[in-house]
Amino acid sequence: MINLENRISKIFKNLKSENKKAFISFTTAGYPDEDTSLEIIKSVADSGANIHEISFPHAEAQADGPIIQLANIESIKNGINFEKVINIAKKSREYNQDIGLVMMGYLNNIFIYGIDKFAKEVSGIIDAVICVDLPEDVIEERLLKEALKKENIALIKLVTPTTSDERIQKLVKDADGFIYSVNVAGITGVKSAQIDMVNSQISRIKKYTDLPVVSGFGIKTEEDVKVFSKSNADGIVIGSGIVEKIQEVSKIETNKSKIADFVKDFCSKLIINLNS
Amino acid sequence: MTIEEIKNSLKNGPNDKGYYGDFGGRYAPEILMPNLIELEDAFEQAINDKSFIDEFDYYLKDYVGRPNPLYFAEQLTKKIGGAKIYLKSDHLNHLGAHKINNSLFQILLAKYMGKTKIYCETGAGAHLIATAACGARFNFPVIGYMGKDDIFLQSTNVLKAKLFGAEVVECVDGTGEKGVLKDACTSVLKAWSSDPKAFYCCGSAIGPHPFPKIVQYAQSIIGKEIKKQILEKENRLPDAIVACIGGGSNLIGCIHDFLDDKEVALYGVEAEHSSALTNGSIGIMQGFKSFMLQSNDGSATLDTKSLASGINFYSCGPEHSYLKSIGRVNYTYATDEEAFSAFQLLCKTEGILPAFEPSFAIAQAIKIAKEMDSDKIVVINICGRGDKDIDTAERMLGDKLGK
Ligand SMILES: Cc1ncc(COP(=O)(O)O)c(C=O)c1O
Repeated sequence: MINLENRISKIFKNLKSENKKAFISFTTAGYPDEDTSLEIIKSVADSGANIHEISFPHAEAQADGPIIQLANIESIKNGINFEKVINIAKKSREYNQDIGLVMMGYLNNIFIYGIDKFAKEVSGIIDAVICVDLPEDVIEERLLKEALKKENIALIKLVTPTTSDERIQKLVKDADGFIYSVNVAGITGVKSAQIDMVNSQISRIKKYTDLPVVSGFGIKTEEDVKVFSKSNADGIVIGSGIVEKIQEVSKIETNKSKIADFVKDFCSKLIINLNS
Repeated sequence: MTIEEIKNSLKNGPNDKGYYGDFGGRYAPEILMPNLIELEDAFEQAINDKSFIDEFDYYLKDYVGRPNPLYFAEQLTKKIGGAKIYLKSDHLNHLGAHKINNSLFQILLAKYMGKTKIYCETGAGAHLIATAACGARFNFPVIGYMGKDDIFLQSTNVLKAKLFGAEVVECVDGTGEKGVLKDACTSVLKAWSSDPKAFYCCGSAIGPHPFPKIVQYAQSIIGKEIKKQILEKENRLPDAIVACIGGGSNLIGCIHDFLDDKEVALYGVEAEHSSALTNGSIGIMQGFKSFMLQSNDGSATLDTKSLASGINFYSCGPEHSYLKSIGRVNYTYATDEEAFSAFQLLCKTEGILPAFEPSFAIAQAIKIAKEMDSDKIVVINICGRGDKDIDTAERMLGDKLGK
């Protein structure tokens, strides 16, 4: 078994020695359809992304803006379900053993599937889980964290502009993998991140933890990536920006590998900008 | 009361994490957590502050028009031929529904907290107009989120809200084609996440902790009045209380004060095609754990439908899921047809025009009352008046109305 904690920390350690930031891509499983979404993940891995977030869609996604929300609904309409998303993760891992894989979404899917069953099923496949609606005071937070820990999978903590220093200290206390710093107050894909605010939030986090801090929300374009390559984050997450590209290209293109290639090219450009 | 009775009281509400048994909780994104904690603290402080409660009581009386009558529906009772039927008249409140009890409370809480802007969601528009009115009275801008379908069905309420100065934002689901109450709920949570300094005035006993508790607290005035009034009129408690349930605010408001009175049977009536408590399974969405109508893997809600927009909801407040799980409240549903006949029956027998929502409760109460002896007492909460529904009623009755 590959030691998962090692995979994510190895990724960040290697990047650090090269003075680089992690490029973290995000796509919606099942969008534009099941097969194509797997091809897209493979091509994102080929592009050199360090970590990939596989989003499992939810129709009432509280934290997602119109771009990701549309992808969620389309993929649900096309018949994606949580079981199939796990399968996509498995096939992604078979294809590439180096990339960090994160499953991200809303608690209800994991709750309905069964917390322990989920942890066992994704053991050796994914390295971390991000759950948007899972604060510390709900019962399932502890249950999921413990179940994942047994399988060496991190439960990622999110820090937002409304999170006080006091809360940050609590959140990072037994955090694992990396800390996700949410750049804007709001939903994905709408507001633009402001570098000064991003940096000061990350500094606040780094006061209390040595874990890598990645920065997400409001970074969409090649230009944005250039700007945030100068931030003090250890990695940046691009979600809506990639999903929007998939939306655009799948309107005019149905060939799976052509769509995947297009996404690969886009990510390659972003990666160049990140480490230029 | 003994210490044991106090400890075991069903009125104690959620634990400190917001759970009613296994249900409820605070399944919120981190961005909203500080807000929810701030709100919880302010709420606890406010309800222990005599000047706050005095102000709430004052406006309940002089602005809302409480207490409203517990009216003996003699004609309806005769027609049904069973238990004595009393109607709790929340349709006579200012703006014609129970929603104002809660809007008033939360707007006063917003003022108490020094907030300057209000967001709300709405189904039938009753919560929207109540919040818009209180917003006008206490100088708050109000932004209401409402499903596209409901905007069409409840156009007079949209108009009223605009007259009170509110902005109404149309909501749709991810397909962009249709929108009902749950879409308004998701949209308003997003709006609040994007503007966390604002106050979110939640319209039903749903959402992340502390909303179910706040709404229960504000609406419990209904049950307190029922208890006082029935003791004055009949010198005893009723045998049954019946109310409709969408999110569950009018129902919890009616029954909260009776939860420990085991001799009083309690009924919640959902709409047939949104009957989460009869046909749903346990899930977690929109910040709370409760029974809900959802897809097999929990990715989406199921489509719901009801003649009454206000109870067209895929889930229900977590306290109701708890009360179902321990068997304290009987949850059933009525069909659109049953509700529409009950609506017409109340018009014809009592000259009272109920909203479609309580018509579901009337339909169920009729069935219950029929089976009971004439010395029994049933109370129905008429939680809204039907002015907002007359266009739909006219469309449904067509020619029959003229004859
Ligand atoms: C008149 C009326 N009754 C009932 C409801 C249902 O809400 P609840 O279940 O919270 O009482 C609504 C909601 O809009 C309403 O307008």
